[in-house]
Amino acid sequence: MNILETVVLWTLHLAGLLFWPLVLVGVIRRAKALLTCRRGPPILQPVRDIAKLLRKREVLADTTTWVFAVTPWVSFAVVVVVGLMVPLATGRTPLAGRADLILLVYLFALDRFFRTVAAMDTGTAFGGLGASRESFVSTLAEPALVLSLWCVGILTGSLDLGEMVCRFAGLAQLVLSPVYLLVLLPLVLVALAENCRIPFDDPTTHLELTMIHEAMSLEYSGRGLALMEWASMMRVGIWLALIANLFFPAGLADEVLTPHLLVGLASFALRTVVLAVGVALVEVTFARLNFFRIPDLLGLAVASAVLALIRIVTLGR
Amino acid sequence: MSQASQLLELLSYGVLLVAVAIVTHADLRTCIRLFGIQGFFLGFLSILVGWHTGDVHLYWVALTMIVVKGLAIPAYFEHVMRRISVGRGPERAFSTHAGLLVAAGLMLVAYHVSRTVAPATPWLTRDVLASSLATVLMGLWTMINCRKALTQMVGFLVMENGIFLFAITETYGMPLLVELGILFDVMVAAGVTGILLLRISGSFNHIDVNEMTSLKG
Amino acid sequence: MDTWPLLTAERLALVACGVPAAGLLAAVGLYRRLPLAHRLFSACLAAGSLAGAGLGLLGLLADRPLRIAFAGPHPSLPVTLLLDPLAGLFLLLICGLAAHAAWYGREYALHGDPAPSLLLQDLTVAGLIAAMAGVVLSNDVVTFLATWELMTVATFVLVLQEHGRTEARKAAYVLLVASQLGTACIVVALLGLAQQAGSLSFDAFRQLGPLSPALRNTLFALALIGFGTKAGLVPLHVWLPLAHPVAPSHVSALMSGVMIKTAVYGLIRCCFELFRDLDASWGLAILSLATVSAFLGVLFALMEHDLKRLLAYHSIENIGIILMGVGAGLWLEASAVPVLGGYALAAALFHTVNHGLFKALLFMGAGSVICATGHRNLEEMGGLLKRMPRTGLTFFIGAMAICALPPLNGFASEWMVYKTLWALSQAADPWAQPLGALVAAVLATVGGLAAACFAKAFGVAFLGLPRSRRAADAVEVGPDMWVPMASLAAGCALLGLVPGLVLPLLARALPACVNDAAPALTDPGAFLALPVPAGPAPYLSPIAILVAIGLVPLGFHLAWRWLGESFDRPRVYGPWSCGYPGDAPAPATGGGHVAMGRAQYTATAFSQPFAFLFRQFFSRRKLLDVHAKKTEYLPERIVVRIRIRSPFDRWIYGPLRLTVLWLSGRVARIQAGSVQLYLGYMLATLVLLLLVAP
Repeated sequence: MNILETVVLWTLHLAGLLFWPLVLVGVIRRAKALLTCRRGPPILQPVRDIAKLLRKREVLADTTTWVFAVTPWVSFAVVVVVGLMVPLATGRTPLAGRADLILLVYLFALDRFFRTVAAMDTGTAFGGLGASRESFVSTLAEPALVLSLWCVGILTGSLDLGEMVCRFAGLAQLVLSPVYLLVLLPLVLVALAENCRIPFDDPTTHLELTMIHEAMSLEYSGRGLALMEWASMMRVGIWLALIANLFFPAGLADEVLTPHLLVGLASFALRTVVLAVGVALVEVTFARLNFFRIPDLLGLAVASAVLALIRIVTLGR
Repeated sequence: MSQASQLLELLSYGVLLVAVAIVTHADLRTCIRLFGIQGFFLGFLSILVGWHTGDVHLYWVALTMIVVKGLAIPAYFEHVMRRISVGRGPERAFSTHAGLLVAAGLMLVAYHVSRTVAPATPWLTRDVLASSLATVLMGLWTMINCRKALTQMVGFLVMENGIFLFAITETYGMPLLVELGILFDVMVAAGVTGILLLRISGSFNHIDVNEMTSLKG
Repeated sequence: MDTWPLLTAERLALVACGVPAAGLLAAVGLYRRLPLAHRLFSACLAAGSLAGAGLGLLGLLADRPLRIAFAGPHPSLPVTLLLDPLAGLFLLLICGLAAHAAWYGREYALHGDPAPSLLLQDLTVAGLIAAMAGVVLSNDVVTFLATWELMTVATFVLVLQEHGRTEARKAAYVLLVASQLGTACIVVALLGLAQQAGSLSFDAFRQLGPLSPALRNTLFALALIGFGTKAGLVPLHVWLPLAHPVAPSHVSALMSGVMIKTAVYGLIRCCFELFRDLDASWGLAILSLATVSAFLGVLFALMEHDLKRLLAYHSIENIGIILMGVGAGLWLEASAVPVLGGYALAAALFHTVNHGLFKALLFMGAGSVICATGHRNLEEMGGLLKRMPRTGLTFFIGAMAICALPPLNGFASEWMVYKTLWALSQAADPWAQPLGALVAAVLATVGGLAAACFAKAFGVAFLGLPRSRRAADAVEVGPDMWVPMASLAAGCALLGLVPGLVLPLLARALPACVNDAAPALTDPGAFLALPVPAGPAPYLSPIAILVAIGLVPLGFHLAWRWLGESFDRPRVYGPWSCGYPGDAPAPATGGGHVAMGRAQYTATAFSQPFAFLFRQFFSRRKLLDVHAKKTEYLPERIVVRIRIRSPFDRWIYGPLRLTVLWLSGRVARIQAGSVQLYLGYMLATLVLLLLVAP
């Protein structure tokens, strides 16, 4: 790869990672509003929110320690690093050959550990509440995530995210296979759970006692809040990109400096927007689950992944 | 050779007979004196072996045997008996007849076993082996049969005598140092028992080991 | 012997034994000034341990193993020692951690009122260290068993340090029973091998031809039970969470950090050297037991609010992760893929080292907290990071490491375990691949639960507001205590970032049958990266991740400046807390009412969802005591007690205990307590033997 190619790749990837998720979240919100017969905020409203919050002075609670102060930075940085490992518009990533499924899982865990600990740092009732629930949901999502991606790994013969995406896209006949659906279902559920969307959590809730994710960032303000929100939007973007590239790989560009790239970019934008509208559709059709029913849904995800595994082992593809 | 062997046999029978007498005899003081006599027998026996083998150290063994087991320990036990004013009856667990029957059975066992063991030295006829083994068993039986701690000590010493008898005829005795060590152990055991008995009777007014059952957890 | 630097090794051994001995003499001389004597002896012990660690390093690096034989108690029972790389690795770990623990104990053991038996405790610690070193060095059955038993006895004495407490006495009793049962199994297994080999030396075992399958499997099962008991493998783990927390903290660090590793050492020797041609299914068995251990260990840890017992349960979890590597390694080795088997074993050894580091660090952190607050219950701590910044930071690093968060050492070794599970698809068994996937899923869940558990432990103990007066008044511990912790924390970071420091050493320590994996581990390109099982390419570089994570805020900063924006310093103000005013920050001292942060989420509340979800795994009973004067509708005080009983107690050990008690009651009838009766038994035995023997 020459220097120009590298520069183009990094620029496009960083732009797609840092700014496209803001648009996607705007799309979700707008679509939700339209689906419930409201007008809703403009699609670029998240960008304005983040820009405004970034300029605001931060207020730190005097009960907190350095843990609370560094967490927005750690969370933001970790999510950016994860984003650099996940293919977006092309099969190539800036951190190609360094992006392992296990690393992905544990980097997300690192991000989450800091956020839960920071939530407990405030010494308020709601911080601990959010931390506990977030740990619970994400722990239960862990086996489904690893198992379903491990199945993809068995099919593609690699645990490297870039290779998984490229080779999985090559298995064209897979679209008709039940394995495909059995792997897709847990990944979608895990994506919804990890990003605190309905039916696991309601991102728009204003009742503190029912919050999961929001309860953890209650004490943040100004730049800290901006970074936390931005990171969580990037997580949405990463998950949507992962699902879009694994299961709807049409138009995925495999090289950077080709005319194919423009097709790839357009197709990536289209596919993620469609998925974002799909998320909005799920959010307006389903109600939020009772907290203690969440394990049932994630258990379904695990069961589905196990079925996929058994099928792969017994029947091959 | 045969005369000495016969004499040895005779003395070993003496030892065994005294042991049987201790098992059956009712009187505690007599038991202690009988034990002294056993010590004398063993002393003579070592002299006999020493004279025959020309081993000088056995004379010393004999001397200490007679002094310690024949005189000192019985005297000390009688002293303890007087101090704690224990009744003269040894208070057997079984009746005299039953005790005698068991003793006979044990002697049978000893003789039976001795038939299967090959004698190691020309001196050691099967009779000597049998009587030494029987003496050990008699000592153990005395310990089981008697209720008083003092009699149990006597039984223990009889057992030790049986082992000594076996050792001296099997290997012409152990090295002097070992012999003296064992004797010292026996003395210490006897001394400790005596002191302990004085303490026990001082605290509880009896030396009946059956009362120890109440200590069980 | 030409390449072995004999003189140096001898000198090191001399220092390792001599300095503590001299220290002991000096300490006995100074016994009237107990604190001084204790500090002196502990320092000597630390120095001796360092020398022992040096000896271990020498053994690891030497070309040929060093053999030493002493005259034993009997001409046919010589004391033979073997310092080969594997023994050297464990010796390095044991003595290295022992040096830290001894130095930490210098101050820790003096907190509160040091008991007059302090020197005895120190002596026992020295005995424990010596016994552990002896276990890994011994090369014959008798030496091994003698040091193994010495280790048990020393642990027993150390657990009984606070013998005034019922908890400690019970723990010591359970420890003794479990250890003796385990040892009995090991004795039978080793003597069985000895009978086949016709010698008590391990060297003879190594040359032993193939055994009959039935005998081999029986003996290996016994060895697995024996070592599994010491390692705390579920369901043989019951003694561990009882015994580890009640010992003094630096001893807990040693017990959890290295003592249970001697069992891993024994198991590795058995699996890869002493028993040849084991079935592949033994690998499966160990892997399954290890998976269950890891899962249940972390689950019970999550339910635990006693800080030290929580850490003890995490030892069960981590032993599970280590044995996952051992089991997978055995499986792959038996499937004739020794390269992958060696990689798996290297992953296990790496995690052994790492767990030693961070578990010792965490136990020392717990000890410091206990020193400062006098509490072991998480609910009585809180807000300690402000009051004990050094302890808090090192504990945080240890917590991150044990949760396997990148880029620390726990992640490095767990990543290798994952790669091992991925490599299971190479095993001959067609079910190995899906099993590897399932175990990976369980391991990921274990990771999530561990992260939740340490978010709870760290968050409740160190963050937020103090939850008790003693926590509010806590002060930082002295340098004698935080310096060893800082050193261990640095070790955790270093081994995570530069795995090349330790992986070549692990490659040397691999047993002969699997050392084909060494090239992948010693690849010079892998100095800053984690290797993959097959193929030379270094793959994952934790330090690169750290740099990348660090570069992001830097880039953000530069971009922000470039945009012409400025950074305001944050304003410090009271927490918002959704407008709820109840938790004003507590003034550290001063009279009057101190707000203790009673509205904070408690540790119990934090783990409640997990308790609800996994309620089948333990019987959890909530007892509600309402204290009211007039009517229960106006309670003055409500006390909630939660009792958790492990299913093993309930379903295995409870019935077992009842059966044993019933049998003992039956057998006790022959125990009348009468001397005559006992003598009668002796007579009967004697007569029986006389009649039977010829």
